Amino acid sequence: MSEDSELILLLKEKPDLGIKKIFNIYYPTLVGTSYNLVKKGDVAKDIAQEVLLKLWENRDQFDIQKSLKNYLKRAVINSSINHIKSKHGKKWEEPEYLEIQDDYTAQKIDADDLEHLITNYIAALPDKCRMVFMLSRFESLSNKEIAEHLDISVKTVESQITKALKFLRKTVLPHINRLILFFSFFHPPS
Amino acid sequence: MSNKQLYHLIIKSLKGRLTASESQQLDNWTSASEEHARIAEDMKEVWELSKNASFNPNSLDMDQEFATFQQKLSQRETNKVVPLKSRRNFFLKIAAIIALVLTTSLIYLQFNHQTSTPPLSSLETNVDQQEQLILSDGTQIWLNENSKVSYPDPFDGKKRNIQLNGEAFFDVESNPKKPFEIQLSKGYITVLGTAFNVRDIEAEDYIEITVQEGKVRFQFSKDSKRYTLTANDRLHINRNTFEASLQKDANLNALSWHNKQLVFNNESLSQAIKELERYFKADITIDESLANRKISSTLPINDLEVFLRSFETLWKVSVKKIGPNQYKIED
Repeated sequence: MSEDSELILLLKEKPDLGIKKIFNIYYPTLVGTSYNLVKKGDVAKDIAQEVLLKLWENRDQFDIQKSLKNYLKRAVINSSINHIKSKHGKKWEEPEYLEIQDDYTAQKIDADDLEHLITNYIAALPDKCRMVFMLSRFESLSNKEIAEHLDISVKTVESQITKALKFLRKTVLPHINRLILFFSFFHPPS
Repeated sequence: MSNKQLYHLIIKSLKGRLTASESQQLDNWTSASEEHARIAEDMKEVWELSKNASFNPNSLDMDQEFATFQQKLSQRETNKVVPLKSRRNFFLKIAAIIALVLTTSLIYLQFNHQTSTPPLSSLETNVDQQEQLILSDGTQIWLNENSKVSYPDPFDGKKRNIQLNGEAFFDVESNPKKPFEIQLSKGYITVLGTAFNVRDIEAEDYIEITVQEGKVRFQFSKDSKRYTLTANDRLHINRNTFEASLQKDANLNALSWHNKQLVFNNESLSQAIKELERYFKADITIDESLANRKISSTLPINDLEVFLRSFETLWKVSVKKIGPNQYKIED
């Protein structure tokens, strides 16, 4: 019996113990998944908790054969997408080309700053572009799955990933090249 | 190969889903020119680097998170009303009422327990008063006049949270497991063990953070941009527009009230005068002809008049007192 189905059995028989175990195992990754999409800590936590509350309420009907992990993840991704969609309303338009504001160029960069820099630039991407990129990068979903989740074509998924990659190449890499030059000064390439 | 096809292949390769023939196709393309190779290499690098952009689940306080979750859970449960079968059993009704009261008060107690914070100690200074304070973790704080600091004594929880109104110099005891956070009127500072000055005075339209050594981080709120400051950095934050500018190699005269000296490093006399005015709350005017003269020296601070007297001898100027706390410097 898989770990997941043991957890579901526990949830059905000893709900309090079961939900606590499930919470401890899955909550952090669920918050992470949602956060990558909505970019707001409190919203991400609410979404993850709501999904677990639904599980609790429907525990008697939950199919023991189902993958708990996939169920929770899908539910969180869907709620997060819905959250962003509701923000945009019916007409969801985004810029074709991304403008690059050059406000970091003068700064020296260490690894810690680099992390913030990338996080900031990804956060600066338009919502659809960012969500496609994050789903592609962190949820190991195929482009087809992403297209289904977001209700867009596979072609659009690819063009959005391309857009994100091009944008990050232009914004982030100039800093990295400096970093690499700096290090290679001390460690000549072998 | 068109651009679109190319990116299709690059993305596939990044996700590790390239078929053998596609892989061959991509190889052919990248080996065709140096520029092709660089584009593919750049994309790979960006993809690799972006893995740092994911949420870090270790930042969650799981006990706290489960407590709020449990609270929501019990709220859902009590909202589900189970009708009592009317058996005209008086005692059953009484028992139900007692149970309801008990549950409600239990929920209330639990709720109350979670939101209450330990009582805060505080230290406040008046005009012309400076105080020094050592916190339970060994952190030292020098509080300038008209300022107030509030802190839990002792620190509990996962962070060392304190609150500042006004100006203070901090020498924070390093403890990576328990970050030190200072709540300001706008935003907060996360400290990684260091010495620095914070000036957050309601009457002024800016907040200023100056770092003497170590590293601190400022942000307006949890999800907003973080500014990282290291030694000799100064962050100037406009209280109204939320604009922040980071200055490297700033002079450290923001710390002058604390370490009792002013340092001028090739600054113009007019700049130096501004700092003197700020420090002594005086009004000093200088001749136009002197404004751009450069100064480099470290001067101990005692009394403004003594200080200006040293100006006279150092720069061969004349200093006149033209009113209470008003001076004029002439060639």
